[in-house]
Amino acid sequence: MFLLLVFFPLIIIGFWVNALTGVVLTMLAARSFFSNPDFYIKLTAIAGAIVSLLRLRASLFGGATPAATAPVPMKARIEAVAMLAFWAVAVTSGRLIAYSSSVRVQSAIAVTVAAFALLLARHIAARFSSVAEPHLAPVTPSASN
Amino acid sequence: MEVFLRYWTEWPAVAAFIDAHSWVWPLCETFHFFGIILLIGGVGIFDLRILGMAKGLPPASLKRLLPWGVFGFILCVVTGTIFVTGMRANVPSAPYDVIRSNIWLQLKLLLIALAGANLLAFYATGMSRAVDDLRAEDDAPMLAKAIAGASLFLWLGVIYFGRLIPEAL
Repeated sequence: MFLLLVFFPLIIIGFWVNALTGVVLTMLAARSFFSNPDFYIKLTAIAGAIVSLLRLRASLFGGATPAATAPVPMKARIEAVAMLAFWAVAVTSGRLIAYSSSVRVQSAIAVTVAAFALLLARHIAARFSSVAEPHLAPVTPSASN
Repeated sequence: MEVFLRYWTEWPAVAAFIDAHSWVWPLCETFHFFGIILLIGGVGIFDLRILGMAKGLPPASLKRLLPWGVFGFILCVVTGTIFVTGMRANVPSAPYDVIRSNIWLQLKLLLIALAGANLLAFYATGMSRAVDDLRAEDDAPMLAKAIAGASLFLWLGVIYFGRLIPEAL
């Protein structure tokens, strides 16, 4: 897990590419964006995602280097879920900005329902597969083949 | 042949459903985006490790991300099929004619096919197994790197051409 930090600069680059192009796109239609409540939902979600990312990084990597096999603390799991949820809201509201307000509300509800349905389906599928294979072998740099 | 393709690429029921419910199209767009994120996130991280980034992580451990990439691809195929077969709800032309005339859609489909062939090559050339056997600090074989580089290039190309499709509608 510690080694996954190598990808952190990539996250930062990706964020700034999106932020800078986003500022340009916003300036092209500033008036319609600033009067659109969806725009503020998107900005708030992005702020929430950044805060969760920083908290997640601090709680996972702030102290001593944990062992690669150490279980992830519950606090970090909650922050990771919060970050994913914030980005999902940012992506959804970003896409829906283009639509009229009644379509936005209906679509936001539809996206939420569909997302929960997919998560539920995954949960059920994971339960069945864990019944089928009770002992999942850990991935090791195999020397067996 | 043309009659056959014309018939199978246009599903009036899908177009009617999109027409009747204004949330269907934005819902599919949003899930198309989620699919792209899962696909490029899962596959891209694996490709970058094969190319030499994040040495210290055995590639096999990042291979666990690939099912998420596959799930993202399925989301994109399902929503993409809805976009094409229900196109009449937004555009006054038959999907068959759009597939034949829209160069960006054609390039996107071509790159998806090439990405599929690239994935087959990853398994058929034995590179998948070779990568599984790599230890944390090992360098991937040159062929595996070429396949990983092609994968990144092709999937980013798919996204680029996909974004251009509406420009030619």
